[in-house]
Amino acid sequence: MAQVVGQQILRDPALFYWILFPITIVMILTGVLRHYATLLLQSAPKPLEYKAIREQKNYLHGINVRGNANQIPLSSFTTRKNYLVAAFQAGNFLKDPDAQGKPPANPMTDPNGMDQMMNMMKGNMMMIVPQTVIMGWINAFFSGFVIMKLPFPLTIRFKSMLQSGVMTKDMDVRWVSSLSWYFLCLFGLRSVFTFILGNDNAADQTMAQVQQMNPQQNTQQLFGPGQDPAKMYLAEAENLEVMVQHEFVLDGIEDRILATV
Amino acid sequence: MTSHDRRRHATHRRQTHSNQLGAITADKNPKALTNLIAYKPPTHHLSPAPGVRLASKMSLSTYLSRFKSVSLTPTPSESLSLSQLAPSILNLSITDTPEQWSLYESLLLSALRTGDDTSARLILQRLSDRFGNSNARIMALQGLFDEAMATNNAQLEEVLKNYNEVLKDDPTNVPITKRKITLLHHLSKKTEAIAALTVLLDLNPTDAESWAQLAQYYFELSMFSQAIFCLEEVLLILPNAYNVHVRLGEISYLAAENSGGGVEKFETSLRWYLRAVELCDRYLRGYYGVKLVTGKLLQSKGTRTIPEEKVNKLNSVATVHLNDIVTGFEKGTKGFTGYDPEEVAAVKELLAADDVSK
Repeated sequence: MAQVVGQQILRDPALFYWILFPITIVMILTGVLRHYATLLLQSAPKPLEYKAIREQKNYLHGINVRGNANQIPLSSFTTRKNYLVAAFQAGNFLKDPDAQGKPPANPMTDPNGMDQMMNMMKGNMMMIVPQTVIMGWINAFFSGFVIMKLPFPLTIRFKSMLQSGVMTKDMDVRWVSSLSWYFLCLFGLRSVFTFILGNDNAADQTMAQVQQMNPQQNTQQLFGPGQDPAKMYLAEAENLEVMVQHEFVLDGIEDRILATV
Repeated sequence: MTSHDRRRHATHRRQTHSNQLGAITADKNPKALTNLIAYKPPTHHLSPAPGVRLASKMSLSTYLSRFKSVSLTPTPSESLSLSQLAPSILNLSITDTPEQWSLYESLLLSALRTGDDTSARLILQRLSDRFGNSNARIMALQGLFDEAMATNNAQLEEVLKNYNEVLKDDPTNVPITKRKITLLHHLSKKTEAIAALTVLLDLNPTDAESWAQLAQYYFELSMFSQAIFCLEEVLLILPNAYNVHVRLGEISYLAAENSGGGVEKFETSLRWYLRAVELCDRYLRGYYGVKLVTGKLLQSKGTRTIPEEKVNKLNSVATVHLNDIVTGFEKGTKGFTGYDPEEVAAVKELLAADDVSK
């Protein structure tokens, strides 16, 4: 049985210059533009206020005490444990002790949350707007063209990926339509951008450096929007309270040292 | 002692809290606008001290490694040789990498230590052009510069007033808070410094540097148990910091001596030293402590939890190690360099005293 050599489709070479090239170049240019637009639009994360920092750091302190308890003598640990458990249970470190027991604030009305969401929105807009525009442009001008043939065979599953916009059942999977070329560019240009713009491109570089200059102003939220710090503090107090085992690392140190000699 | 000298010494002393400013982690290449300032090196820089390579072709990383090779509390001569790199570093084109800015920070400190005000002012100018005057870290560096420029206590009080005003607006400005604390301490307002430091620690009890500093302040006031408490807090944050273990050993030793010295207290001190030695081989201060405390224990009478035979063994182990360190240091054997000559001298003294008593 004679093997089908493959479909031969005669293409106008102009397709190559007037569709394949423009799409690729437009995609790269939008990527670069998007990067700089994101840089311009992003606002510096707001530093936490005093009480929020205090709330977070004291929580971390509790975790530290629990994690490294074996480093300090039992008596020192017990003092700290008693103090921390009492303070945690009384809610001494909470940002607003009055909010205890109330349902968590609606993230939509929380000003800090708003800021975050605004940033996220900006980022998303920067993705969505150009994509819609370009997609529309390609659909309007270039839909239905078969612009190139891949040099290797593929299974039938790739048909939907490579030939979107061309409704031909019997065409070989190796043919790529213009719309598919757009998608391939959209998802496959990351390394090109890395080459042009450096690592971590759209995720801002300058900001990272400015932030580096004040590391203590940590803008990260330890407590997520949905979590109730009061409850986390209570849980931590309980964790501390149930800690019964304490092996001081200095116990028997003299034997350990002598054993190594 | 001229006022210039005095100021230089003052900056030397006041560096402690600014060390945190030296640590910037490496990052990739950011693109940002930078004010380039034409800089002409002052002529007195152009004749480097003997032994200093006139470094026109050295790269940024070479400079960085030179700064890193020096300890956090450099000797005056080390500072001088670093600060003499200023013209060549400042003549490098500004690449706006984190490495460059961290190099600028270290250079600023060296320049202030050696009284090279022209370079210091220029470095500070470039840093604030890049990061803005309202950046907490830049504010602290600016404060450091102002402190170094002050010639008398009245001017220092003025700087302190500035700090207080900044902190009124933004109480979370940690670098400025730390400057304020060190300045208070320097102006002999020790209790105020301690009070301010405890407030800072209430804000952030996970900052090892602050705890260590507080321990030092308490120690200076001979409040040993408070100092020990603070150092234990450091251990809760950095469980393997062998230098903190040694410090605990030293302070408990002094506390034991001060209180008349029960055997039990010396044993506590010995255990801290032993832990330090366990964590860090060839640790001079650790073995020194082991030797010292075991010697003390062997002399004193009382019920001990560590049997005498073991104490004896530990003593001889420490002696062997200390001897190794001394001979290694003197011959410059690989792995035995980098000890503080004064510490080695102290070790020799201890070993000699031991020989005499035998």
